[in-house]
Amino acid sequence: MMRSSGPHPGGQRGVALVLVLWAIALMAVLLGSFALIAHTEQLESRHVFDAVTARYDAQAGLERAVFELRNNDPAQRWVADGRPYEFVFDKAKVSVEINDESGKVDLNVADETMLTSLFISVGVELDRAAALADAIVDWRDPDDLPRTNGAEVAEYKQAGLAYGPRNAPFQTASEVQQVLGMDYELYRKIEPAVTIYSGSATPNPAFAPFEALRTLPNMTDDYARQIIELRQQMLPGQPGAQPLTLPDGTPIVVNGGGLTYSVKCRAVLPNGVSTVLDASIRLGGVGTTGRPYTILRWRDGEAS
Amino acid sequence: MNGRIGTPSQVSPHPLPSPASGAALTPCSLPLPPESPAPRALSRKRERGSDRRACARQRYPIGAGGFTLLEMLMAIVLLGLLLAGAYSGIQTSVRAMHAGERLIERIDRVRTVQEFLRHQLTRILPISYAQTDAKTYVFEGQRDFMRFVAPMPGYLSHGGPYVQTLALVRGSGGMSLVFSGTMLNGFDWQEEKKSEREPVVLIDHIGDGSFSYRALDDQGQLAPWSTSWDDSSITPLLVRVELTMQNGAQINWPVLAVPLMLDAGAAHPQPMVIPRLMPNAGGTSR
Repeated sequence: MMRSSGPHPGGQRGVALVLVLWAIALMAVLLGSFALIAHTEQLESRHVFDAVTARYDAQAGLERAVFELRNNDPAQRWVADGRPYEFVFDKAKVSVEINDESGKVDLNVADETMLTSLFISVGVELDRAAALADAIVDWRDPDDLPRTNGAEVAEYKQAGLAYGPRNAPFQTASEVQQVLGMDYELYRKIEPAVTIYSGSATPNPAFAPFEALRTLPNMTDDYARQIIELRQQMLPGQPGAQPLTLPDGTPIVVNGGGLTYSVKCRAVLPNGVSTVLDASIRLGGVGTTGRPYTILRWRDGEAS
Repeated sequence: MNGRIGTPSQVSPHPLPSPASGAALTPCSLPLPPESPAPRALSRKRERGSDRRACARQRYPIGAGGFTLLEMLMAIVLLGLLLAGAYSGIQTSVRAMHAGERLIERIDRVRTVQEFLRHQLTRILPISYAQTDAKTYVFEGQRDFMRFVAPMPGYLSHGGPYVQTLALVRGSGGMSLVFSGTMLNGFDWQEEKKSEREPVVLIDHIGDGSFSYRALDDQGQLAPWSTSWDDSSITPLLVRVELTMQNGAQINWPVLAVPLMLDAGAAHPQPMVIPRLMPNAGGTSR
């Protein structure tokens, strides 16, 4: 089909080549998409590996926090009022914030007034806040008599829920989500301010995180922020330059902390992968695992 | 052959003034001249074919023309071979790609499941979910069954502790690892209240598998792994999930050993249990 006899008009000549090119193009597309998938997979594995590394780095932060909280030298001891401590552990930047649990609102002890102001401080309107507070008290009291705005079995049934109140103290702080009227979003808002381990009716302002300070009477956002700022400038074991007071004039005394702490450790690897470990621990005693502290709550690996 | 070497002058009774002129088309459309002899159909066809060829030559004088049957067949066969080759090549690559994708999917699945199990098992709470006269149930563990109390991921639940089970269930396509969770509040062990959501198959195509448990012995030393957990009133220190995947699954399950982070007795009002003082508290493993 030789050029000399020339039976093919010019356009038809390269049919084999065109075909091959098409085939190659198609395969290239296939291969390209597969390469993309494989690459994503590889990135994912890499990320998992980094996340595990970061998790253990964060755990190192917890161990360090325990060590520093038991430091014999009061001037060196870490203060459990939420001030950030940073150190480098195996190339990862670990920052640790410790909050004494006595600075939080205890869901098992706080009264309706306290609980109502807790909900109001996160932006819930008064009616709903009062209802939630009553429902929480109804949840933990042993009787089946609903309070004014509260909820016992009948109300839960009416709301279409398959369960009723436990009529016993909360076993975990997250259990409060089961209370009638609560939802996940609201829980996320109050979570930093609540505990079940402090045992005192009002949060101790010397250790309270921002969300818990906000629940105190007459507190404003700015005032709470100011307290935290001034509190964090105070050196451990020494009185501050000016005594801190609450809006009603009560001085804030830095003592009376318990032995229960919530420790928040964030580890950031050099490549930017980070993980947060949020745990509650109680110092003292020896647990079944032989640790010099007891872990009460454990949340890790939640990337943020 | 007379048909092949026909010239315009032979075909047409009227010689053309110029081969390139438009008038050359006219004779081609005409039937064969009546005076030309037509003995057999075959020869007529041939003549007609040669006619056309001749006409084509006239139209494309630079040597363009049709193809013979043989040429056409060869071209079609060649094209077919090429297409078949290309198709099978593409087919193979598509198959390879799908196989690769499936493998990646499996790996992804195993990773997700391992991450989920680790998430649930580290958070096991020392809270009892059932009580009989003789026993308190905080953690049940057998070779193919585990029941414990732990929080669920926030977005999946109402919060608070959930009674969760992990079981290896044998089905038609091999074993599968099944997870289910029920709210602890209102949990009734005897009647197995139906859970909020259906049990979830975490992973299937398992050939064989077992759960094992580990705790400290009387001396405060780590005891060997055991596939049954005898003291249901306390939690073990470590839980291990070992699975052997079926041959067709093309993937391995890396052994997953998870430490339970929350200390036993932590959430109980009663004083903490210290293994060295209470010989049996560390858990008796066979």
